Amino acid sequence: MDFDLSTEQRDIADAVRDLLTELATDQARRAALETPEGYDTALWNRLAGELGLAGLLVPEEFGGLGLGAVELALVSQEFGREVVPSPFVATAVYASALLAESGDRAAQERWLPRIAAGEVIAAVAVQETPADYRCAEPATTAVAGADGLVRLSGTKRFVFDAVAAEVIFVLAAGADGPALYELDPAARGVTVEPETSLDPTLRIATLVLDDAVAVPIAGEAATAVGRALDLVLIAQAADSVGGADRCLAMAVDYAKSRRQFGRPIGSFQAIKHKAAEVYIAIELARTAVYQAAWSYGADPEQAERAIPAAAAEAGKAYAQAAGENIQIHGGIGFTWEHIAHWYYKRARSYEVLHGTADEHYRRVLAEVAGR
Amino acid sequence: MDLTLSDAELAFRDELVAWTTTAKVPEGLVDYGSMPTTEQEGLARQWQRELYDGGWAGMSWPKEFGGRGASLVEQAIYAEEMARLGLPRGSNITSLELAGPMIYQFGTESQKERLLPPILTGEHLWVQMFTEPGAGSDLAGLSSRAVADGDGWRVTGQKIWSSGGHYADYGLLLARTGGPGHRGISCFLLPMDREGVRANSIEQLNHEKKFSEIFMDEVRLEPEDLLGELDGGWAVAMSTLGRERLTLGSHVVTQRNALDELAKLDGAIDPRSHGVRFAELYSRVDLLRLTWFRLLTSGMPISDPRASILKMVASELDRLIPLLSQSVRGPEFVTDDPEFSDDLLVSLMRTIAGGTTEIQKNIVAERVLGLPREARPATGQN
Repeated sequence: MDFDLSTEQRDIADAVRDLLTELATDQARRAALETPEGYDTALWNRLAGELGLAGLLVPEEFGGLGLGAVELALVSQEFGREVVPSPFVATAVYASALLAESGDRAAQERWLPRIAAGEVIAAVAVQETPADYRCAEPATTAVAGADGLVRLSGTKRFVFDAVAAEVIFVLAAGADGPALYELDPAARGVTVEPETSLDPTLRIATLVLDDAVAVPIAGEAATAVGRALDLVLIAQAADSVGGADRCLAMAVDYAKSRRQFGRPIGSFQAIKHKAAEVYIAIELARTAVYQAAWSYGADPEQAERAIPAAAAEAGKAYAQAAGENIQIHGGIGFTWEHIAHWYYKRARSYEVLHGTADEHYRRVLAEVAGR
Repeated sequence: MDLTLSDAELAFRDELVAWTTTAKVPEGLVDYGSMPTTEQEGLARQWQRELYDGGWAGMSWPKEFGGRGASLVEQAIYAEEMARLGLPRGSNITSLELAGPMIYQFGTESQKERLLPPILTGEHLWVQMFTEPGAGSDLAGLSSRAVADGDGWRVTGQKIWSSGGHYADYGLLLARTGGPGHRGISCFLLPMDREGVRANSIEQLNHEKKFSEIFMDEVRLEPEDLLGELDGGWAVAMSTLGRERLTLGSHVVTQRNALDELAKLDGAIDPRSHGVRFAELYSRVDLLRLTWFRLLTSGMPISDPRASILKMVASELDRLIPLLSQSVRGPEFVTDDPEFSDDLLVSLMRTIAGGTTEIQKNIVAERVLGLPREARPATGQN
């Protein structure tokens, strides 16, 4: 039993933390939300350029860092601490992993080096209905025409970073079942409809396709989507633990300095017990994230239940931490000016994006009951 | 990072399992947990002797005191495997994890020679005599008083919730020898057959009799009964804090077994019925186990307040699993085998004994998160 991180793993987490502490300020976040992209392009360029984060998961042969789920978790935890508006999950996690898992060499050569270099924002469009984030049976169709071109029709929902994306990878039902297609968002027949998001630091869109020309990507789509989504879940869960950590630290700091009835409110058991409960929830979620990230690479059978369990646990822990943080802060925590709301909005969004706790537990159940 | 048992850890486990296949397990012995019931007391002593002969007595004790000198992870594996095999870990937790370690840390050479071997062989069972009717969570407010009497003392007072006091050979006694608060408390090693000691078992709400109340009326304490410094009993008592956490692995196994049993019932693992809740608790048990290993391998001492979250999580699961059983079984939970409802009743004690959940939360908030202590009114003694 060894939970230790390697020096390399610690180093990358520290480097990300240092850069984010310096640049991912609340001022920068608010400014980024006013831009057309909706994320901090300067910050993203430095994360990609200096630290190579755009290529975190991209194999070295394509110019990436070739790192795994544990490193992803560590980096995501740092992102979570600052609620960074960033295309990291869409591009560096979802799209990269999907291409890497697809086994389509030509597509990989086309996109992975550019993604790793931070030159391109990529998005993935899988989900169609709220109840099935894995989209087992896509209603979106891919039809080959007499001209030899494939055209996609249908509606994809909850697509991250579609507005800024130069390429979108779409899951659709082809002649031989679900398959992946490479789509140029500027192509005719493509409409990207940005949604308003509870968490404005997440850019979510609906993608409407009406005979839009796309390029097929070879490989077993369902497996590739499943593997890529598992990394997205690990990233979200780790982001949640980082955010929850930050919420607890914020609440504890405030409770130490805010005085009422002649003493710090943190001396009251009502406050202490809330803080202790949050601490417990976070520590369990942290274990869950480690288990999920480790097993993704080392023990796929365990990963099948560990990843959804981590997603559910971390989602709940974050929601609890972010909610109690506002409660402990009182009125000031309810203001637009304070940063507490970013965390609460992110927490309640991540709780249901890419699967709900119930969906995650049903997956755990299938694994446990199947044995 | 490698969340599997290492080769050395697997070898340790295999050695233990191999030994248990040849060990003489007393007939009728059940896994009674930390403390034998009155009925299991004799078997507990026999079993401890068998463990001693096999080289498995005093897992946590250093070798120089006759123990196994096992690492924390080995102790964790031991607890887990014994539970899996349905065997108790030893005679009782007070003897092996409180009395023994306190004596080898604070005892005189003569105390160590006289009292340590009989713990390992199962000859002596010990009882913790800390809590009093007026001093529960606020242990430092205890009022049993040992008054100087020649070269020794005479102690008078009442102890309560002492597990196994009615059959124990020795008591680990905290009594006041000085002023108020924790600085005026001493620790004594009290032979339970001494004149003036009277112990009665207390019937629990589920009819079990593990607890006792103990009355001391002018009981003579000899100089060699004092453990550690006079008025230094608080340090002795606190020295073994958190050691019960090493037994958590058996909780996890018991919880897993309970869920496996539950899974056989209609609806328990049906995703449209209780399945989601089942999966949630199943995952939680898994996480409790891994968090336990995470903390054990982190290098922190077992007394670290961060580890107290384990007790809170374990005791909460002890409550939630029988409540899932209640939901799945419905009215049959009320009328069927009392074994099912007994788990629920027993779970009520888990959030009280060994430091209530409320006190544990205070400890985490103050000592882990650094929140300020509460303004305290003077206690009865202060």
